[in-house]
Amino acid sequence: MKLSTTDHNKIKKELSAVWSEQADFKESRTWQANTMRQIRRIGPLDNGQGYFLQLGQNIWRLAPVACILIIALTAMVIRTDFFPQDAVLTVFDYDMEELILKQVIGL
Amino acid sequence: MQGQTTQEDDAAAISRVLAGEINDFEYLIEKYKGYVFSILRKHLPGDEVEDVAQEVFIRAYKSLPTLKNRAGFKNWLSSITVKTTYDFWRRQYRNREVAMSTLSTENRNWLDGIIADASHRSFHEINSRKDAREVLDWALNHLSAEERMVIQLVYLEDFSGKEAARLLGWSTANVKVRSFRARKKLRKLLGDEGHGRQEIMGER
Repeated sequence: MKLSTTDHNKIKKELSAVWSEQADFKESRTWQANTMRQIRRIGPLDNGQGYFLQLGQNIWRLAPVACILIIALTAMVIRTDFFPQDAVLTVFDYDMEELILKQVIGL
Repeated sequence: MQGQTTQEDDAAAISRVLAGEINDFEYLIEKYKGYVFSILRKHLPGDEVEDVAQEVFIRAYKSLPTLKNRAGFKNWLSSITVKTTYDFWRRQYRNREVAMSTLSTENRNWLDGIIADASHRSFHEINSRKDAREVLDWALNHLSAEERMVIQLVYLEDFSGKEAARLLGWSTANVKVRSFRARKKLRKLLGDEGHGRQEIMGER
């Protein structure tokens, strides 16, 4: 059964009131000392770790630059009429027999 | 002005900790433990608060090199606290084996009383608060860890979707979708227990 909005709001008001009521909390006397003991056990923070983390962050910063470079290079290749298919065809068009003969004769 | 000095103190303490002076981290623990406890006290059962608070400060210590804005340590710590709470509930829900119970008669009466605007609540105020707390815990236990977190932050604490998203490290859209579904589920749960029972009693 679905609650009406009015009924739901009444319940919400009560539940929110109970939620925001904070019971006093006092930590045990040893809590802070135990926490510091655990932290000392971890030891000093490794600068290398920080370095690698920063490196990871910086690599992502380079991503837009890399994208711009790719777009610029593509535009340049299109403008210079470079077609890779043509380059491959040129290689196959070459007379292989003549090439090998020239190599043997040493011309 | 005082706030700025505090932030500068935090930044200086963080720099010293990062330079290898571990003991200076105790300054940050001393300064912010009350704040962390106040968040955890609302979100967790009382006997779990200390352990989770310890986990919060250990996480904060380990992640200190990644903190960019050192003056914003308090906000950063609050986000770590909420995320650690979320991880706690995820672990709890994974290990949960006992089937969830239904509401007790007293709790149902409390719900009926709220819906019917019963005036007798005032002289049973202490019991009423206890029942309200039990109904709240019961309802939250019926939600998933994710739903629980958004209900606690958005529905009970009135955080905006954006603020909740920052604390949880989720996208705002994700928080809004989860919040909508969780509210709907909660409303149905409370409706089934409160209104449903009223109708059954009315039929008799």
